[in-house]
Amino acid sequence: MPIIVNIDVMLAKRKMQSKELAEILGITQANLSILKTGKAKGIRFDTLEAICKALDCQPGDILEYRED
Amino acid sequence: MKSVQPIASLMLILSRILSVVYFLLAFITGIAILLKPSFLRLDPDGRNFNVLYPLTHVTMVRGENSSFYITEMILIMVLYGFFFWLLGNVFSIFRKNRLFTLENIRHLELFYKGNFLVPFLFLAYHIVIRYELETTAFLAVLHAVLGTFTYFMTAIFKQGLHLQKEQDLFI
Repeated sequence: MPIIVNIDVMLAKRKMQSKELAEILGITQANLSILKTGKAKGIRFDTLEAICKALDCQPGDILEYRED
Repeated sequence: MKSVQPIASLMLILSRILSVVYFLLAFITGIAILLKPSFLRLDPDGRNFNVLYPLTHVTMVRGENSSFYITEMILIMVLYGFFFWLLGNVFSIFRKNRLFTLENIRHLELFYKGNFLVPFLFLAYHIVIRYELETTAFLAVLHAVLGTFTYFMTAIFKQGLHLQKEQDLFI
């Protein structure tokens, strides 16, 4: 899929662990993993908002478009 | 769903009770025919048998005293025992918070397959031996209607499971 999810990059920049982010977002680690690996079919606005708030970033820092 | 769950629970209990009653009737009748205890009475002409409630003279099961009739009667009791057990499984689906699961679909599939297959086999056999065709055909149609509804319900559940899986991938 040409939409790349860069949560790992932002997590590394903020020195935060996946487990911690999952707890803040109120989702399971398995679901966060689905999101990080690009297996998710979509992301809800409220999830995106919560990620941006937790990682203090913009949606563009997390989602990136790359042509196949 | 809040009103569905208690009704489903009630129907599950009723189905289970009916199932156990049918299995018990089959068991008691079978024992009575095999062991001929005091609670088995034959009519004076020997054409009909009566299985009495234990310690009473009240008839519980009455039928023709022929091996074909007895075998079929016990078989029908056992099969209706299974029918009500499977029906209970269908009702148990609606007690759960998550409806669209593979386990629930399996319960529905078993129920509709049973309702199509078993009465059809019975009907086919009765056509061959030309015995009580009308009643058997009526029951086969009744179960086929039930099976058809359950078949459609299974299709809805399969679609629901598919949509739910997709929905689960929206994080």
